[in-house]
Amino acid sequence: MLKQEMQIAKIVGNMVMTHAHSSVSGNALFLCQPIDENGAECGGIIVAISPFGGGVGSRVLISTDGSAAREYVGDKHSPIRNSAICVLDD
Amino acid sequence: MKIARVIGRVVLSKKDGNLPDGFLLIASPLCRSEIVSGKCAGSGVSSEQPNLVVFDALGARQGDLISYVEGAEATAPFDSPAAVDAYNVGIVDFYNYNRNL
Repeated sequence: MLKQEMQIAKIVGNMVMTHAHSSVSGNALFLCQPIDENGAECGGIIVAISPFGGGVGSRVLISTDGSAAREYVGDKHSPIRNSAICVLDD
Repeated sequence: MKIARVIGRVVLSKKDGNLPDGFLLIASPLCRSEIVSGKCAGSGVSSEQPNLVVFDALGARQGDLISYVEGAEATAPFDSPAAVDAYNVGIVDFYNYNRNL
């Protein structure tokens, strides 16, 4: 079953796709590793966009809501699903 | 969105009208250890996750790394309702995994 909840994740890298869906161009793609409350890695690596300034090394909250991601991208036909909706302070 | 390796292709002679025109790839999702080590499953099927068939409109070839999306967002790029479960968002050129984070 697809996970439908928000996850705390740390951004561990980025990804480059030149040949992709038109809505992906102009958005940075980050590899996010979901972590649990004491920082241990749990789950597989998810690729997400980060419209709010989260960079490599920052801890973010990953949401799996596609409609929010389509709004950030500005294309209602965009297949992007995960987006880093906020950057955690601590 | 997750990363997978294209390991095959599916060709349908007859198909449902709701399935849009395009390629169907067999993709093997990469587990974390494969992404971290960079030694991705080139030929065989080594990850624990099951393979899946991904709808592709970009023309990915065998051995390419693709990033696919599942669920309702896989049908977002189509105007009419589409019988698609996984959609190929793009062909991955390269990715950087920062080990000491």
